[in-house]
Amino acid sequence: MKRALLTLLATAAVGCAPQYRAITFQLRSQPPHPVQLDDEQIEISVGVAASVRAVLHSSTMIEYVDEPLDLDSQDGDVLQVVPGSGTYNFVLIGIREGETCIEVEVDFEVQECIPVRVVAPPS
Amino acid sequence: MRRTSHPRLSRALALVGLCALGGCTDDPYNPVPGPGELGNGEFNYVCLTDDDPACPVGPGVGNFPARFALGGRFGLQYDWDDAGKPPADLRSAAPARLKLAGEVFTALADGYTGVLALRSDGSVGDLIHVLVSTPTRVAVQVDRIDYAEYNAVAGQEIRFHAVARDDDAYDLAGALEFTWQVDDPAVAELIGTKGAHAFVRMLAPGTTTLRASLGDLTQEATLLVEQGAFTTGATDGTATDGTATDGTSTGDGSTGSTGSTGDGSSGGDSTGTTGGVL
Repeated sequence: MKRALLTLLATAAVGCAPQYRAITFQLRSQPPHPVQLDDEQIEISVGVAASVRAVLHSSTMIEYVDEPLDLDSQDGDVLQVVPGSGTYNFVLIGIREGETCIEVEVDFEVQECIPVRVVAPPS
Repeated sequence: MRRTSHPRLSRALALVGLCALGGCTDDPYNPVPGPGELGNGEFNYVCLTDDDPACPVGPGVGNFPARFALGGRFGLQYDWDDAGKPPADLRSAAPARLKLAGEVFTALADGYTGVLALRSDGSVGDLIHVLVSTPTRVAVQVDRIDYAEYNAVAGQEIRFHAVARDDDAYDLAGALEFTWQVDDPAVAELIGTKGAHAFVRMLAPGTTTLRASLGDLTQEATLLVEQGAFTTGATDGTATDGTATDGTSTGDGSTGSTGSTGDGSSGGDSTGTTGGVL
């Protein structure tokens, strides 16, 4: 009985908070070269700075509003992520050709690392 | 196609060029800024020298260029739409491609590179991309008009100006260091060079070649120097006597040509141009 009650409480607690399911990005600027922002891969050209808005998707009925979100490039020599103005706004900058990933930290917990490819500018 | 000097047309074309660059409204020169890509303000281009093609009236704020010269140096400023905000801190998005030292940017790589306008909290408030292009040709100009052949009279001092262009004929913005050379020092001599400028004194009748070089790129202009009148007192460009002066005045080309022939034209067709696209 006691165990069942605890399970019920835990379930209720989870249901009251957003649970990370995925992150997507919306482009806020018009970079001179196309920037690919799909769920599983980001691709950006060297030299390009793209302003994006991150959208956190929850697996519960409760959506994210302003929970802390941090995006960290795992290789700042390839890609940099700089905070933009406003909640969940960031600027992605292609520094040099290469591959890295962006670590997604939501509510101080690392959720995933999204692969990024920085490519040479189209000639 | 070879171009020769023609004073009246040159002057008119120069005026048209300046109007095209800055707009001929009540304000004779109203630089066009670069709009921030996030729409929070404007980036202003700052010429470091008086020979940057983006600033036809000298150092200061110029039109935001369509293309920047590889190796060119320049400044940028940012104005928030909301004037109450603290000044933005500008930063190159990729310092290996666009170096920022102090307040001077230097273009180090071809192609687009972002420039960020940072808020006081370090977040990006706005951004813009500059397009850097490799110079592939050099033009020699007087009063921002290209010349392959320039007529002058002995005693004149002419200020020549070199411009770097790319394959698409854009005048490339940024301060650049050109080197200058005159073939025959008996006909004309370099009396001073700085950046993209050269001051040349015409010494004696004859023909020589003026060369402006930027790295491996060189452009020649033939100097046709004639014995003729050149006075410092003429205000309308018309010589008043037939005696050459000692060359202490600074001619602008049109003045010199006028003195040599009376009507400003010393032969050849006049096909002056304001040069490439900026």
